[in-house]
Amino acid sequence: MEEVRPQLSQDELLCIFEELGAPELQTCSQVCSDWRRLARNKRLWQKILEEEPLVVAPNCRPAPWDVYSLHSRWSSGLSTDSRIGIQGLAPASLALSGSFIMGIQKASPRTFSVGTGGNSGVNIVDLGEMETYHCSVSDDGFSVFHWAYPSRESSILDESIMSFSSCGEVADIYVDQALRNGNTQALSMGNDGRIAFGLKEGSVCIVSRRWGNPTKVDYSRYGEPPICCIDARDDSMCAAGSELGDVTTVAWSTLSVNRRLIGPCDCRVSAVSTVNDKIVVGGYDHTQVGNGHRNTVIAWDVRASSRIGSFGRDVRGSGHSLLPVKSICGDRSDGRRIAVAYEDRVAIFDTRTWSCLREHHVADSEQVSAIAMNDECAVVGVTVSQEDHLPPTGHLISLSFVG
Amino acid sequence: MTEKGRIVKMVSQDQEEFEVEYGVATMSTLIANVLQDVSEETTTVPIPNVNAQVLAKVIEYCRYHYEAKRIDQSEEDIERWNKDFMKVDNKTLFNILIAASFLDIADLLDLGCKTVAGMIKDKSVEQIRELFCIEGDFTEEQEAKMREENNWGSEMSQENNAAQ
Repeated sequence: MEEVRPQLSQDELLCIFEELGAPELQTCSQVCSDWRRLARNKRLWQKILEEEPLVVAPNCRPAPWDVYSLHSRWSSGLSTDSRIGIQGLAPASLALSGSFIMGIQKASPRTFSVGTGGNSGVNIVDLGEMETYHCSVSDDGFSVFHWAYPSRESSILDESIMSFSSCGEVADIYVDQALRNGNTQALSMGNDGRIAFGLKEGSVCIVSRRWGNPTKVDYSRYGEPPICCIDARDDSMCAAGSELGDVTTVAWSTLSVNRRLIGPCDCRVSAVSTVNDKIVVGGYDHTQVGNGHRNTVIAWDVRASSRIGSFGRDVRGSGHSLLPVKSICGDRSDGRRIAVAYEDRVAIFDTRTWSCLREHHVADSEQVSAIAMNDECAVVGVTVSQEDHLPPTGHLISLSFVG
Repeated sequence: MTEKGRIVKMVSQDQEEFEVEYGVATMSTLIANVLQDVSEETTTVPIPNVNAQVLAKVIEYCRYHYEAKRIDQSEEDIERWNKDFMKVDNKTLFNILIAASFLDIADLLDLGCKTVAGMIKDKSVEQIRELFCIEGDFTEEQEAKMREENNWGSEMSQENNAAQ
């Protein structure tokens, strides 16, 4: 007597599974353990992910509930620790305002924006072949980022600044000779719409989008060294860190420039942030130089032109961090806290006592790739390396410090 | 010997013989490979794991598509024919799929997979098990965990619907 139903081989089943979408594969993975293994085949999911970027593959973290938490917990605000995952999301740059998180993913370039308040939708804008570098977002969800088409250098649109409105529509495109040809190294936008660009030639360029079309406000050539990080503060100034250890501040009101070597040496300032209208913090990266210096964070009083102190090297009681400071972010409101990101952890400091308020370590397979902060929490972009040929995935963690 | 007049004798599992034109038979890559070094007028090829009923269906498919190509049949007509051809009971469908896989007939395998995939859509786990005669082998714990996975998904889609 023949079997009631002929048994399909694994190859045949895989052929069938190839015709299925994400929900059906999910169902198939619950039929039996053989099917589960087959339905989680990486090749199948890779194909689906290419077609449907928002789908979460079961064999890749984050799990489906990560996306779900975006709808439930995140919609009630960010006051508790939570996590969201968008498949394929490996944040390279992250910005957070009162109600929006915006980020850029570098592997397969796209921007994503996530509403954190009442409007908790996810916007994903695919950037195709564009290369994106930096992004910033304001309280009204307006985002701006720098992008380039790597292959079309001669075209006028090969590199420019593009902005998106909160609903993910292109608001405007700004092209400026000074910002092109790889000159833009960093950008930051204040809530009032001033965008500060840190340039390779060592200058700071300020563009305003306040009156509709972007207008250049200030562009002064200061000469070398190249600027590698920048932070624009709403009401007072922007601060830019250079490759050779100094920090330049530009006051919004007078456009007066202040440039100082803030650290003990001329090593790269890998991250910079304004704390309030007079204090700037810069983080160092000594790993390239190997001069024995510690990768500390240094706070600098711009008005008094004096160093307040260095901190962040004794967080774990282990002496100091071997990893460079990757990013620093102020809370963008009362300036009471700053968050410092190293590759393996994030530490939040009180700017009055310079003590560590809380620290978060990521897992071994994970890397902190971006950080942003508002007055309720810090949002950490985590990149998770994947096995085989799968692109890195990632998620966002919010670390609350309220209540 | 021209290929045109060549006949291939295919013998099913249950020893039934099918005489098939060379061009039709070689739509199966497996048979084409077998026949590559043989030059006799009539060659017998045993197909040991396909029964007569299924082999007849497979040959019907090959014959139609061979002809359709020759007379340049329209896409719509072919599609309609394919659809009708797939209107068989599940057991036959599965057997055709397995035979297509064994005989290496890419188009037929593809058609069979698409048809089975279409049957999986909108079915529950239990219905799929029934369709494929599979017993679930998960522990209760695993089942519960998977149900949870599912719930997230359905709640999320409800929320999405509500938002629209």
